Amino acid sequence: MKLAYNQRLFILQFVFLLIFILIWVQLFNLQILKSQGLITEAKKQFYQPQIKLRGDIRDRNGELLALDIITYDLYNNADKIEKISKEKIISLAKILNTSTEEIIKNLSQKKNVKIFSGISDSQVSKIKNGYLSLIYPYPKSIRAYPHKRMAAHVIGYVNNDGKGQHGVEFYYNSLITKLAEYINQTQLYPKGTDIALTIDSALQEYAEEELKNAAEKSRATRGSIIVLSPKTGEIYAWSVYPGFNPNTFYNEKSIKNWSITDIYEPGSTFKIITVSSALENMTIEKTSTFYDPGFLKVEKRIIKNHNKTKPQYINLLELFKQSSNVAAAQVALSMKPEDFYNSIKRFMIGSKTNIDLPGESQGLLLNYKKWRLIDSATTAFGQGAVSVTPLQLACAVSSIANHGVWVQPHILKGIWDPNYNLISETPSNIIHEQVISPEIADYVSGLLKQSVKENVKAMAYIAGNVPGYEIAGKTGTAQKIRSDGKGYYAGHTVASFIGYLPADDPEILILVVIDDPKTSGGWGNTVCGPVFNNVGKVAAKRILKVHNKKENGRQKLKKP
Amino acid sequence: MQLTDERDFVVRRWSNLYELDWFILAPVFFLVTFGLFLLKSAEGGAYFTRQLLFLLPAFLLGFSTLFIRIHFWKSVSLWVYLINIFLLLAVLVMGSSALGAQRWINLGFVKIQPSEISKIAIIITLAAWFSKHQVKNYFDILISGLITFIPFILIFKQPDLGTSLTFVAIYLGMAFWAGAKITHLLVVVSPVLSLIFNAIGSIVFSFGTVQINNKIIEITITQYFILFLVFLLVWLVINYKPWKSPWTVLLLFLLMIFNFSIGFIRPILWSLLQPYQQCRLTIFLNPESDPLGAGYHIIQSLLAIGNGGFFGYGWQHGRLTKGHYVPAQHTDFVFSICGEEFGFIGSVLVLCMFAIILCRALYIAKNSNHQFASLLSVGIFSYFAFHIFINIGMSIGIMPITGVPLILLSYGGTALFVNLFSVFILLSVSWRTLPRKIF
Repeated sequence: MKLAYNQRLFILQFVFLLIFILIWVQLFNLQILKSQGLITEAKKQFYQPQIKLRGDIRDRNGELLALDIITYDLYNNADKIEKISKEKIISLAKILNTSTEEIIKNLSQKKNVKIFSGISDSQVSKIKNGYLSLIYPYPKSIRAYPHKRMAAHVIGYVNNDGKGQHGVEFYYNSLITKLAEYINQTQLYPKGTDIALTIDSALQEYAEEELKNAAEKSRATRGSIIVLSPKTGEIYAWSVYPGFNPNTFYNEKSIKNWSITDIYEPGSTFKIITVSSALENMTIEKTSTFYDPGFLKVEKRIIKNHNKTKPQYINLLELFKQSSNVAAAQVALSMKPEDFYNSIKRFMIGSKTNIDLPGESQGLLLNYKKWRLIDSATTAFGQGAVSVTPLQLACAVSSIANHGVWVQPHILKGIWDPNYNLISETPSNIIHEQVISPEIADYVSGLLKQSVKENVKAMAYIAGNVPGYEIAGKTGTAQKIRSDGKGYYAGHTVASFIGYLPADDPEILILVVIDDPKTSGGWGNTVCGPVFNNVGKVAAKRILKVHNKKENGRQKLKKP
Repeated sequence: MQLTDERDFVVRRWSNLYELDWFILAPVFFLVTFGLFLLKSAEGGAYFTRQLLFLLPAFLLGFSTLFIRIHFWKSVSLWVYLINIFLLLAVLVMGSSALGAQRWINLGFVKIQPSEISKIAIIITLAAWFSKHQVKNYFDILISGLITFIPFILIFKQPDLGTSLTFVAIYLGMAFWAGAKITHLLVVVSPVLSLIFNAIGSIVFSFGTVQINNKIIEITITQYFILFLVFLLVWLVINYKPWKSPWTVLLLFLLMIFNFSIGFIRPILWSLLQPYQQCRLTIFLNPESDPLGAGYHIIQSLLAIGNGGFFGYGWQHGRLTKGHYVPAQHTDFVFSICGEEFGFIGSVLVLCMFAIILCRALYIAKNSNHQFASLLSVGIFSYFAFHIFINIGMSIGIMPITGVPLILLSYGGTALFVNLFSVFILLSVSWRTLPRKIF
């Protein structure tokens, strides 16, 4: 028994010794053999400021919209304020543009306290010559937006933790912060990827100015202009009122881009969808006429036109021209609710457009099983079972403009190389989808063109008057739905105009939405018409002339 | 060994208090004081003050155990065990959570951590059990294993891998001391060893792939696994001489099949773990693979310890310590402070102190004429040795991170109470059952 215990004791001692020898060997290895290497390794942690610059954001022409700049914070490094010579403090005050009292007050604080911030590179290089015993600089990156309010809702901003918030800064945060592979990352601070947006700055700035003026003139609560390409889905300009300044995001209130997060009832602009759906479902024909007595009784409720008209027979052209609610309701009632619902759904209304921006709403499209007859009729002119975001409407109508093909909208043009040439174009897999037959799309497009043309000729339309171009478009004056869901506000409207040019082969689609204008009767035509015309002129100049010229020029260079 | 279970062997009087075992008491005083210095350095003193507040009552509680005869612990061992289970169940039912685990019971003014108390409780329970039932065969192993398994699984559920592994260490040490042969213990731990050996080394044979939960898993065996199986077989054949009885051949065959299957399904078991769990268990092999994530703790700890060099930076001057680069430096990584601020000399000194306590525990275990007391000492030895090895091993990058505090040095109220309690049990054993004077 005793022997057995001795054996056991020996084994336990052996295990115990093994453990301690293992630990000692590793400690010797770490603290004596490898110590110098580990000390230098640890020093790297102390002295490397972990700054990583975000990539720049530029517009389609290379104009800078957002960039990171380095500023410095100054920390107190002075031991005893009494020992510092007066001249040194005076010259330091000169460099920092402050008073000597301020300097003395700050330097007499505790050591390692931040005393100044936002110091520029040139000031720091002066400080480094002889003032490091008093203060030491520590670099910090700050996001700057040179155009201030311009395209703020599209770009977003970067918060104090260096994280992108809203807009492109949020959506492409990982791309912008991903170290650029094409740059030789040898500069002082590593830099992320530079990206280009499809925005055209000149057009964007003009559209914002126009929108702001119109909204302020009509005392509207909010508004939005979307200019996009029906063919490629590129967004040329997107202005949102009220705007904000991303440089001082912490003071701003209206940071939300309401034109993708909020929905409204689209009103008469929706008749384009209604008529196209009915033609596609073959419940009406191109030559159909409708009897319009000025009102229509559906289930105890009466649908009226916006103006008093004599009882008449009208065709589809007149439907658009006079914006007849009664005729549109008849068109809608000719379809089964299920067919109408499915057609609307195909225009991607009631589902997200999947634009590369955060916070998109999918709109509202009530299921046809819940429709009453009256819903069918009112949805015909965009006041019933449907609510859209301005972007959804723009995309749906642009599929009419683009010969029936719905194109996914997007804001990212591509990635820049150091010489500001685009490296990769557009994000991959832009969705193209044939939502309606090209023949019907072109026919409706022709009707819209004709109706605008005749209305402009008869001086009934202000909108659609862009010299040199034929416009296809439609006004909309929707009643505002009450926030409690019970009916509509009397006298409050959402005015809009959607149109595209050149009407036969559209390159530009413009949607102007102004919410709750208090002047000019709140009509889409009177409120949004002038804005559309002005933006249309500039857009035609910028997009059709400048860009096409550029592309032609490029092709010419390539050929020889 | 003369068994004198009913009465303590040596009758002590309080006037003989100076006869306490100073080989234990002196290192403990040193380590506790040293631990306070480390805590003062760690977090600007907040933990230092709280640890200091715990210290006096912990010492008083420990001291009071000197009044109690060793036999008392044996007579209440069943109650100790039941209360222990009850507390662990209470933690699972109404415990408060922190850091993703449910380990504490909130008593209003203080939180206690029953899994810490559980360690000394299981030592007392097993000591009582083994002193009555010597381990002679696998049936004894099974019964005593079940006694350990219940608190083990309750703690494993919290989850607290480090503490539950402590139970395994305590069990192995005490069972071994109570008569289990190495072969017994080898058979008990062979499935675990199969798992480990089939995880290291290079693949020598592949059985193809299976698909589970959309993950494709390759079933392989490695050279170390094959070597282990061969070693196990040879060892068992030599020890059991299976040619004498066909039953032994059958049992041996079944055991080998079992071990092979365990190693065989290891890739599947591994894939059942969450990726972060896999990461924690293997990151110590290559911390640079994720320097800011899973490898951060180890890298910073290694840097701090290496930074200390031979003499260290001096108390309160550790650069990584003071810069709070090392996470959990008041609990799990307290040794990194020692390494940085006191250097190789300080670390070796601390290790020597631990070594003295452990040597003394073995000495007491051997020389105590009281089997229960002897088993208690071995239990405490296993408990301390395992904690020291795992904690320091993890700080210096030779063990996986399992979250075990360093005895007597880490911050933690319950742990301090239990550690000092264990130390005083050891003292009491030494004082009451060693047949001759120490000095």
